[in-house]
Amino acid sequence: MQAVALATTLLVLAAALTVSWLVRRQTSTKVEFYLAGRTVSAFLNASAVCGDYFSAASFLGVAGAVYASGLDGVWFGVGFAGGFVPLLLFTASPLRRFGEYTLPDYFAARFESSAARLVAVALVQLIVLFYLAPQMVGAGAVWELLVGEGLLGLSPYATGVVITAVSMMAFSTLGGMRGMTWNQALQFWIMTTAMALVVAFALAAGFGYARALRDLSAGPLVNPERWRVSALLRPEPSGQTPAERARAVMSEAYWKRHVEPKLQDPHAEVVVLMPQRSKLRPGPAVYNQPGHLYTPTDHASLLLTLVLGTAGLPHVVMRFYTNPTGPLARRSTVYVVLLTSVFYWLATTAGIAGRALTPQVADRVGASLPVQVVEGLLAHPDQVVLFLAQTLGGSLLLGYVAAGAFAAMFSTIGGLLLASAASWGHDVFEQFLRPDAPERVRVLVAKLALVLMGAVAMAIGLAFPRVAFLRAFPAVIALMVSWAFAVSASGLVPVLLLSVWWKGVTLRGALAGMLVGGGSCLLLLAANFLRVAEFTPSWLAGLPVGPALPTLVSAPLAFLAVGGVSWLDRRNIPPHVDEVWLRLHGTARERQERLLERVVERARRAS
Amino acid sequence: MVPGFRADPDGRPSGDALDSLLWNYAEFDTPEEVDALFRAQRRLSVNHALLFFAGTLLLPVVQAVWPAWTTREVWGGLTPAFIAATVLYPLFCIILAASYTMRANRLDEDFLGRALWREEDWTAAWSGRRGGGG
Repeated sequence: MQAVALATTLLVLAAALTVSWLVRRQTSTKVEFYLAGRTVSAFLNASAVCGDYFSAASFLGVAGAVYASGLDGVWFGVGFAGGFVPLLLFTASPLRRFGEYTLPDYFAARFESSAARLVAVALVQLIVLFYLAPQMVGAGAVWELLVGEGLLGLSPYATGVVITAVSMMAFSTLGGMRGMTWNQALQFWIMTTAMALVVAFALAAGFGYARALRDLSAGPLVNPERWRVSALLRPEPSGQTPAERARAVMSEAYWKRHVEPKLQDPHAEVVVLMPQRSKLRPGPAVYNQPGHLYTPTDHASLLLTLVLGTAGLPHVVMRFYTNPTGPLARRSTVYVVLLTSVFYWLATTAGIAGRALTPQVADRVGASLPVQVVEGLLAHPDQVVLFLAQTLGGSLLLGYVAAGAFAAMFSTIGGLLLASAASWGHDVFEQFLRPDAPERVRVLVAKLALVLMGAVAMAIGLAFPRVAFLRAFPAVIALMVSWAFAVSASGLVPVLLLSVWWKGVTLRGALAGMLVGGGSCLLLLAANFLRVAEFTPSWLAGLPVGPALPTLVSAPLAFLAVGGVSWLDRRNIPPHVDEVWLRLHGTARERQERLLERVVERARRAS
Repeated sequence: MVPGFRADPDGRPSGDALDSLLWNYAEFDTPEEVDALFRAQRRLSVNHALLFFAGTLLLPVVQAVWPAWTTREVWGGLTPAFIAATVLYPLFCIILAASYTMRANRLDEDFLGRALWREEDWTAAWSGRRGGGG
């Protein structure tokens, strides 16, 4: 166990939570809380949005994806940052002005329909589950790495999942939305400074960006892969076995010592280096060139997934309601684009630095950090940031970086659980089951929903077939989060964008868009799970788009469904749409609020 | 003019009408003004979005059709594709976002902002109702 690192992690997290607690005490009443919220600066709000947005996928996954795939991995970070631009252009200001609490609230009010609310609730819950699962995987992986021991008979991985889920259920249930702004802002700055420190230590250790990139790209890209021996020895159509391909790029000494002894058992698993094939051209993949992860259509689909999906993430949209005004919501988003760009540049650099420095520093890692290094490469790329922290900065830096990793997961899990609870409590219980429920019961239901969703997230984290997915996707955390983005980009965002900017969207059009977009996306994702489980239907192989990233198909289908059905249904445009437009695009309400504050303040001074 | 409006002999709102006006009607937009703003904002958003999506989807297209974009190393191992992904594209997003925000906020101010009274008048009326000076 890394005692010093663990103590540092706990200390940093405790300090962050204490500051949040102290700030929260100053806003102890509901009115004070909301007034304080209106005076939060755009920059602070932007930091909180980033804290909410950056998850394990951002903190561990992006560097891991760059470590494993080079240029193709860079696009995860770039897409995550670029996703805020469509949100800024189309929804940040109108949704803030509309002034509701959840996305289903907006759909219900826009179309005066309970059906629209319910379908949106279902999509929101799906997005939350898709987003929570990789956070749980990340939590288990970090615990496994940092502590390496399980509690109460659980494996280290399961212990990490359980402790994170239970902590977040307790913290979110007790704290609610109060103090969340400061909490998430602080956690964002812990993440950013941790990543900056890792890059600074790498530079001090002699890492040079351009030079490292040239060296890493001098030959074909090889990555560690976990194989079952029976599959490793099975000849491929070319007549060569995967074992022969692996042996060609591995040292004789490593092969004889670590691989050969296991080859007698067909059920055993071994980690070997495997040359990676380019998906763009015949021959090997190269680190600074595209082709390791994506074909051109996959690439376009990933970008579309990430840049469209952000605008429909329920926990991110909820944060935009906390902006004081529409213009400040816009300014806050510009800061978010700036901060995310800086953060992802750091994460990308850490991934390249990790790849370049691993062979030199692998022997420094010692037994206390149980990473598996195969011939100078990490078997699990998602561990690269923690590995660099330990080998370059020792236990203190590892502790701080681990605090950053936990902060990333805590802030996102907290936001997701609250978004989910709001959706169950506010959109289902209050609207359909007991509209007359007293405040006390409403709060109780929200807390119960939060605990239940936390338990579901924990169950997913424990049941997730991590090994099978790691074999299929080396940087699995970033990819899994992109599935949540895909459901958002296909199910919610097309309807959201069109209904904010086109009066002609009807209820039927909106429902068709959500069902067609969300449904087709889920079908393609399900096909992907079948593929990973090595149960590939024959029709799947013929699809033009990789099923891992379905947005290129499902998002246009959703736009077509909304537009086409609304046009056919054009006699049924909601009659109150002009009132909705005044709320979405007018500024009277926020001017009124500002005027009221100023007049009351001036009158108070005058008297 | 306004639901529940009551005026004093000078024509100024009084009693509960003052609260009602200040809380609900002091600032207002007409549907025609909002519609004009909405159209201008939509034009601005769509123009910026076209630029954004063109810039975003151009990258995989250039990558697919121009081999030198991904293979020619211009500084160390940095290819044009790598520089575009790590530096130019984020800069493009930041500049686009800042440009849009400045224009959109200016449009809000240009199109909307009608008020029943000046702020000083509200302050005077409100202070008088509370028994203060002013």
